[in-house]
Parts: sequence; C-alpha cells; structure tokens
Amino acid sequence: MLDMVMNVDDDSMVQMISEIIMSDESFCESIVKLEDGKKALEYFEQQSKLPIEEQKIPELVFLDINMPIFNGWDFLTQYDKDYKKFHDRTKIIVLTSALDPETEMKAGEHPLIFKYITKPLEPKHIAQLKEDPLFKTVSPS
Amino acid sequence: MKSVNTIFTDTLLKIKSRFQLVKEIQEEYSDNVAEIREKKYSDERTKQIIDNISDIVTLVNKQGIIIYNNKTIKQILGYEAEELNGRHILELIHPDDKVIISEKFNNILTKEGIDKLAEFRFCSKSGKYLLIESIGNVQLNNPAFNAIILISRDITEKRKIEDSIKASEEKLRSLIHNITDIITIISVSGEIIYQSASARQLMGYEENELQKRNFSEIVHPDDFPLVMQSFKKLIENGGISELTEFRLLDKNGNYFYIEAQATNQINNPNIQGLVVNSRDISIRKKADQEKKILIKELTKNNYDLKQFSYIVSHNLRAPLTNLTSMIKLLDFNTISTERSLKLLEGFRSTTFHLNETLNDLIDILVVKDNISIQTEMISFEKSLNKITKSIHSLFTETNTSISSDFSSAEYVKFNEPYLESIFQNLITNSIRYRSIDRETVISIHTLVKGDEIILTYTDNGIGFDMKQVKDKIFGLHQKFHHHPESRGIGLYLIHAQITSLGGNISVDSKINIGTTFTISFKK
Repeated sequence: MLDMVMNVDDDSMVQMISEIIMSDESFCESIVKLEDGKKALEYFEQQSKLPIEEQKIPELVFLDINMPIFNGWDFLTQYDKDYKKFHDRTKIIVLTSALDPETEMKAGEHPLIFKYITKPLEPKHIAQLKEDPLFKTVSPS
Repeated sequence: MKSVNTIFTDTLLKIKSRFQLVKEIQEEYSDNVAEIREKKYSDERTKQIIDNISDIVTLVNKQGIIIYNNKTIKQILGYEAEELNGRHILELIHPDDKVIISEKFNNILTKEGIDKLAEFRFCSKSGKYLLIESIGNVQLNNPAFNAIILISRDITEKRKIEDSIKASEEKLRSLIHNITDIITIISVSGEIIYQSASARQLMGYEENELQKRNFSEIVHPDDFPLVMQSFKKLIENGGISELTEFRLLDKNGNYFYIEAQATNQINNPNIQGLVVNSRDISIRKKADQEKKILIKELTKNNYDLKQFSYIVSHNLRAPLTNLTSMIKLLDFNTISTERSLKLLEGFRSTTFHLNETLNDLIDILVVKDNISIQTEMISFEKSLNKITKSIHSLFTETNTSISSDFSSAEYVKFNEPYLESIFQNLITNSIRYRSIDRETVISIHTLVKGDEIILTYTDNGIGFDMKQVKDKIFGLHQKFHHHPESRGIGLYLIHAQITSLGGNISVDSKINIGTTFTISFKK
C-alpha cells in the first residue's frame, strides 16, 4: 500500500469516485485532494520548507489536465522547474476526460508523465498500478 | 631648152610622185580593208553578246511594232528571235495591263533616254502569261536605232516569292498584333528592343513607346531581384527560362501581375536578345488571393469547430464518466424499495446508452480528424474472431450463427481497430434487426477483384426499403427503425472509417429477406 496519493482535479465527483475506488482496492493510506494545479504547487512549496523527515510527499499524483486558472500543463511546467528534488519520489499520472489525440500525444512525450489514463478511473486501473514493479518497491506493504 | 637631164629629173619626179600616190592609195586601201574587217568583227561580237545576255532585248518602232528581238526571247517566252517582228507589242500584253502600258508607251515617245521600270503580263508562246519587268530606252532620234530599246526580264517567280514572304510577314505581324500575350525583346543590357502591340491593350503603352528603355523601369521593385536573377540565369545558361510571376508598371502607374517566360535568342542574328512572352494574370492572381483568404478562413473555422467539438465532448464526457463510475460503484443489493431499484436500473441503462452515444461521436471526431491513420496487413479471420468472442453471449442469447470464408483474400491492408469496428457494428446491427421468424444467419466472404478486395456481408434480418433509404443510410443520425438501442451512428462511423482509407461501402436490402453490405478495400 502506498503512503500517500495526491489527486488534483477540480471535479469533486471525480475526487469522490477516485477515493472510493482507491479505498475499495486498499491502494493507499492517505489521499491529498487538491482542486487545481496552483493548489498542488502550493502543497509542494509548503512541504519543501519543512525538514525532510517531516515532509509528506505523495508517491503518486493523479493530475487532471482541464482545470480552471492553472491547468495540468501549467502545473507540470512549474513543477519541472521548481521541484526537481521531488521528481524521483513522485510519479505523475495524467487522468483526463479529454479524448483528443493531441493531448494524448503531448502527454506521451512529456518526460514527467508516467502514465496517461482516460477517465473514468476504474478499479482495473488501480489493480494494474498495484502490480507495477515501481509501486511494489515504493510500497511498504 | 630643157636639158635631158632636167626632163629626166622631172620624169623621175613624176614617176616618183606617181609611186607615192600609188603607195598612198595602196596604203589607204589597205587601211579601209582592216577597218571594214574590224567593223564586221565588232558587229558580230555585239550580236553574240546581245544574244547571250539573260534579258530580252527588243526594238520597237514609234508605232509600237516590234522590229527586233534577241535570241534570249526563245528561252523566256518561247518565241524565235524573228517570230514577233512586225507584230504590235500591245497585242501580246495581258488585256488588264494594256491600258496602262499603252499610256506609258505614248508618254515615253516624247522623251529621249531611259525610262522607268514597267511591269506587265506578256503572253508566252505557250499561251501562258508571264510577269515581265521592262525598262525602255527611247532612241527614236538616234539614226543608228530609230527605235525604242526595251530590256525585259521574267519576274514571275521572283514576284511569287516576294508575295509569299510578304504574306507570311503580314501573317506574323497580325499574329503578334492580335495575340493577348505581350512579346518583348530585351537586349543583353536589359534594354527593350521591341514590344508587341498587345502591350498597348494590357499596359496602355503605345507600340514601341518603351523602346530603348530598360526593363528595370517597369518591374516592381520588390519583384526586381527575382526577375534579375532569372534574367542573368537565362543569359548564362541559354534555352528557356522558368515561368516567373512578377508585377509590371502600366502606363497609369499601377502595377499588375504577369506571368512571363523568356527564350535566349542572343545568338540568333535576327533577334539578338531575349524574347519574353508575358501574360496578364492579375485576374487569376486576384482569384488566387481570394481563394487563399477563403481557405484561411475555412481552415480557421474548421479548427474552431473541431476545438468546439472537443470541448463539448469533453464537457459532456467528464460528468458522464462520473455518472457511469458512480453507477458501477453503486451496490444495488443495498437498495430495499422496489420503486427505487427500478428507477436506479433505468438510470443505469440510460447512463450507459448516453455514454455509448458519446463515445461513438468521439470516435467519429477522431476518424474525421486523423489524416494519417496507420495501416498494416490484418487478418480478416483474426479480427472477426476477436469481435465474436467479445460478444459471444449475444450470439447464444439470440441464436445467431456466422459462417465466413476468407480463403480468396485472407489479409487486407487496413487499420485494425477500424476493421474490428466494422465487424462489431455490422454484427450488432444484424442482431438488433434480426427476424423473429427464423434463426439469424450471417455470412461473410472475401474475394479479389482487380486491384480491390471485396468483402461481402449478408444477413437474413428484417431488412429495409431501399427506396426509402438509398444513400442516406450512411448519414449521421439516420435511423430507419424504431429500435430503442438504435443510435444512428454505427453505419456513419464505419463509412467514415472505410472511406478515410480509400475504400468504399454500399448496401442492398430487401424487406424481410435480409441486408447485404459490400465493402471494397484498396489492395
């Protein structure tokens, strides 16, 4: 089981569904729910100020793309620039309902994006992630 | 008394003078003989010369009667030298030329000396008229002649050639005058040597108004480097230049677009320059520009619409996926009232139906958008099996069977998801519109026809009225049945998928007998 997953989505329904699925699948201990990219950056900003032993850095971020004000791409650009130290500890999965091939291609080429999942998030996605060696090693369970 | 001596001397003197006289007479006589002989030779020479020159020499008296012809007349007109003697010269001149020539003749009688050239048609021995050019020398007061000397030659051939040259020159000139292209000849230094009359029509300049001016004066400054480059290249390489578009200045100071092509004729001694053929393309250019603007607008509109569809589909899809997720996560066992359970069941099926519709629409969007979709060799058998496996339960529930024969064409160069979508849509349609009177049988087979692979798909369903349907069947949201699951998208989608890869699909159907789809793929 992962320690912490961050969910960045402006849709509270998506937040709720993801939480239920992850809980059903016993995927993680805790979930940080943030409503846009700006909030997510602020979270990393806060954590970076804390001493390392007190930092709570998510092992996985589910990132929506279409969000008001500060969208997924904006977040990625800033995160890439300012929080290189967290890159090794955190994997980013784009979770979007956008179906246009351009977005998918852009995501596929982005070095920080680990995976691209088209909404809805389903139990099978979580099951697959649990089987992924990357998370098996990170996971303390 | 005279002495004997004196007498002797006298006599001697007399004899001597006599001899002298005889001698003188003798001398005189011999001189005359030489002179006469000489004169005779000289006449002979003159006659020989006259008979051998290439012109006809004729003597005519003041009445116009021919009194002499040299032998040359035989070669040219066919008459013997003496044959025409005694005939009046006007007798043999063409009736149409008689009046002019007789006037001319009367005129020259009063003048002594050489007259101007005259032309007339003269009847030859064979009866054919030849065009003769004659020069008269009036020697009526010269006792040696007492005649008019006419020197004549045949100019029939010469005139024919002259006329044909004239005609072809005229033809060329009128050609150049009447073509709409502008022909310009430019020297190596860029000086305009010649410009055709069409320049006036197109540019307002008088013919040759631009002569001696440099072509750089009338080329738009922005286009000049391009024109100069082409000009230099043509001078260096010879031959024909490429078509070049540039703007020229007209007489009113406006620039207009022309398309020009030039040939290097520097080494042609008659031209010694570049022959430039230019054509007014301002109308075409304007149309091109309008087209460009239109295409730009359309492209933008199209892009905006595409963006709009993505946004709409996204905005619809996001809440819809939430709905499907929630309904999937909902545990129906915990619902106790019959009424709520029924409503939730309806909620569930409606949500799934809506979700499928939206997914189909998005599929269409993707097909319509993707210009370069990947193709590979795909097995018909494999694709069909994949689909039949995924909807296996549907087959058993509805008692449907499929027979297929891909032996004639096993593979096709196509997109795999597209082919699966084609099978999926056709089969679900067949099941949806099956006849309740009989077992549903679907048969699929392929064959090669020319450079195409033809797939024929037939079912024995309820069919439809072809008269009503026609080509509308592959349109969007064309539903021909009141079936609850019909969304009117499936056939539109596969039509789009097939045609986007250069194939074609057609349909034939008979009510209550069945439907046949014929799909052609590019081989």
